[in-house]
Amino acid sequence: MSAPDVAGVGLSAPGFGDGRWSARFLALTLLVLAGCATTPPSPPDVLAGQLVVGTEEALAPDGLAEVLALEGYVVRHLSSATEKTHLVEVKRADGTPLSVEETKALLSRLTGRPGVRYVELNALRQPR
Amino acid sequence: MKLQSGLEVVLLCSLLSLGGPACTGDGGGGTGGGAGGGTGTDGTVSGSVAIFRGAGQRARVEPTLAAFVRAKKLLPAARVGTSGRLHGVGLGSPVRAGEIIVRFEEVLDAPQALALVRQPGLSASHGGWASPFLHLVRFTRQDGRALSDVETLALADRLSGARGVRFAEANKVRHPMAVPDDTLYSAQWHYPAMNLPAAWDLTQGSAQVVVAIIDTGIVPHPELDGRVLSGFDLISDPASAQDGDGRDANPLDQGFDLPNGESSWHGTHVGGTIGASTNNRAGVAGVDWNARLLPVRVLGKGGGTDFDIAAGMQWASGGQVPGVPANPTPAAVLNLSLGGEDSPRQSYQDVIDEAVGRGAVVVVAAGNSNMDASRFTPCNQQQVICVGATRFNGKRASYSNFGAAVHLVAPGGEVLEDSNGDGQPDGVLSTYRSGSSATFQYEQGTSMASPHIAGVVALMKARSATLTAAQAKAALTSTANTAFQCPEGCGAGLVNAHAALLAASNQAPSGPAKLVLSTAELFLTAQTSTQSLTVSNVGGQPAQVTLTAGGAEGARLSFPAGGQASVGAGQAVTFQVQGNLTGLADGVHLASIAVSSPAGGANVTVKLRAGTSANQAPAVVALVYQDAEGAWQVGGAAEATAANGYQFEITAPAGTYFLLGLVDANNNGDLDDGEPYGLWPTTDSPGAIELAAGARISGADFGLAPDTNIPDPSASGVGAACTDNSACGASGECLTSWPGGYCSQVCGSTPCPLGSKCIDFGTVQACLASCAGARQGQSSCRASYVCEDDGTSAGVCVPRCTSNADCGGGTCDIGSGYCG
Repeated sequence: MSAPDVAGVGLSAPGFGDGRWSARFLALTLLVLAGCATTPPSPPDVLAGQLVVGTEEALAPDGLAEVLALEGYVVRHLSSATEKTHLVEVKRADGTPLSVEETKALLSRLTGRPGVRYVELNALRQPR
Repeated sequence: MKLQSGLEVVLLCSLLSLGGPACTGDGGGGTGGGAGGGTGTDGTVSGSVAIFRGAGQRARVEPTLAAFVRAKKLLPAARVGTSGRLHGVGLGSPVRAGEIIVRFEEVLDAPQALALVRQPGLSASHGGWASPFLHLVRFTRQDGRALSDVETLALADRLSGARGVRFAEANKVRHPMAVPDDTLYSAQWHYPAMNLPAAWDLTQGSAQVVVAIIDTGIVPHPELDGRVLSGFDLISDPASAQDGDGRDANPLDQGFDLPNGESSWHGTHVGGTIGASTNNRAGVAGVDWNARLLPVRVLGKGGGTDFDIAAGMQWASGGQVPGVPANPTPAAVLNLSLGGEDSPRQSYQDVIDEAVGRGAVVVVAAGNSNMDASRFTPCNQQQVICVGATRFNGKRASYSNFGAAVHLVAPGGEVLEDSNGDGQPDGVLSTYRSGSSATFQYEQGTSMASPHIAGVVALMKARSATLTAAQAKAALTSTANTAFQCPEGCGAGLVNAHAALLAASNQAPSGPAKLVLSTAELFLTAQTSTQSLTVSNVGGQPAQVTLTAGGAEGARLSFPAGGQASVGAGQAVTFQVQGNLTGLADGVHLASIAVSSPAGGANVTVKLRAGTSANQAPAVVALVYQDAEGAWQVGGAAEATAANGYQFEITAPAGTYFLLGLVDANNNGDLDDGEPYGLWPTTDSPGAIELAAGARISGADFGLAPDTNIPDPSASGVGAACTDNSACGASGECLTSWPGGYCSQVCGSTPCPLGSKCIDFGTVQACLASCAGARQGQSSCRASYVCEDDGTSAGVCVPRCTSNADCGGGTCDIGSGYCG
């Protein structure tokens, strides 16, 4: 957890009464929080630069790169879930990564291309 | 959970040395500015806490010497006619009119037997032998009219005293109900709630059926190891997989998947619900006793991606995943207890359609956001069965998503509640891990509801391997209990496992009416004064059911929607039970409900708890942070009391905090086992609160619950041999008059440990060791004990009878050890 903008230790915070309770409480706090050593990250819902692409036909990585060619970008095949479902990574031609917003903008450019059934962002899911 | 005493001392001393008021008397606020309120840079956080108030958690009445004396005096009577004293789920067996089982002293032929039992005014016919000595005799009036139940029982008593007769007893219909003997089964309220024991009479599953757990992977656990197939790890990102590579053949859950770096062991818990080793006298039961589990790891650190989840479904169902070896054991059922807020994904739909085309059934969780489930994928995909969650009373759980996308609901739990008064959270109990140890844990969520349905579908597949996804969904939804539909959308209602299995095989319920109850225990408090009791008829004839309140506080019970109903064949009726606690003295009080029907009768124990000051222990809520040295500090804190509805408002300097609450119920300065604590918004996934100067953040509501990890289910000691009280723990008592001694403890106002059950002996309640195979002999009980029916079919261990003297006027079947 990142350090807060506070310097004080709330040993007598409002409603908290005597210091004996505070000390006890802090001790218990340490116990409960033993596993919380870092600030919970805010996991991005969408993985920047990654696209899930569904194709009309089974495609090898080379064929997929051809279908998805984008001027100014480098498209790299990462993996396949089925013969027609692929994960690709898109970077700028200079190798710099895309932001989430830039990744989203690519959806409309790639959707509807010949041989492409759909293009989706690759989002994170959680246990439910 | 205990503090190390040394650590506590160090902490207390160091904190006091910082200048706290108890140490320096300066009354001030610690070492720095800002804390202590009122500065212009402060902000406030307000909300409320909901605290688990299980039976006995704070109304704990320590067992008194007098209570133990009573128990020791009365408990030996448990061997006297126990079947009439123990009460629970499942309606008792009806008498077969006029049929008497007679045990003669000598080997007799039929005419000789009839001559010895001749009765004036009655006609007798010989019904056959069970042994050379054991005969069945059928009596009617001489005009051919049948005897009543009462007349039949009285006749058995008369014949018991006849010359040449060792004993005679009424012939009663016993209903098979396959109930497992797992130690913790009695804590798995979520199975009777969905009529699962009756379903187990139809099938206990097949090893030919494979269920995929598309989740975090799985960890070794003795309750799972024998059931788990090789599986696969389809997490493509090594950083998320945390096992040094991307996809590989090892689906071991590496942990550390939660946002706070903790481990959920989510797949292990889900897997235990579907198929923990069952009827093995240990641990928990699974929905399916025989299916094999296929762990497919797609959730790693921080979650899992759409792409990996799609690949997981593809591989699990037997589809080809380029670059991955083919799955040698394709799954017939896929469980996905995962998801996120999003529109339907075409990538998901493609692989779901393929999986369904290969004959698989895809079961998914609705999500835990208390929102419209149609906003969540994969619940909003086509051709899936989307499952919402219910609490103990069958109503929608507080967190469960809802709406048109939900097809039906199943038990998902509510860990802040204790609706049956067993002192345990109403979560779903399943396999878990703590450190390197295999344990068990109560959890809640639609993640827990979904595997209940996946397990039922696996049972369906065991009876009909060609069952399609559409057929499975139709069988589930057409038979669900509509009493648990909800206005916001709970689909067809609560799953009825028995009826669903029959429907999936196009079978109708058959035979005489056979009734089962959803629970044997209810717990009513001022906050929850109404509970549900469901009576299911798994037979082929309708039955009229009548509820009658009784017991010491029976006058306080009522049935707002009526106490009588006809339960149709294969149907269920849900009664409402309401308690009037007005004027009731502080503490836990007992009442009962007699459930009677021509198909049998049973009692439900009802605990009523009036509020006591002990129940009102305040919670302390604090904004806490980690300082530059990594030490945890309190930025501000407040008490949340019953008087203010457990609301709080904390003022603290601007900063980034966690919000923590806890209850030191016994005020000893230690967080003891059973004392609730929690982090906002959930303890599993605490969130950081950014508090700006002058900001007022409201609605920071969260729950406090005890740690529900159960390390050793056999630790209770109830039922263990003993020679004196020292062998039975701090609150135990050795019943030395029972064979070999028997550790027990008084219950009623205090819960029994897991693995034991509170039995009402009329004037005293005591914990007896749980067992299964009721009325079927020793079961999991010690030598010299038998498993007696408490009505739940799970039963409790009581001494064998050895003579009629043990049976209080009844007869002892010495061979079986049961009183008649």
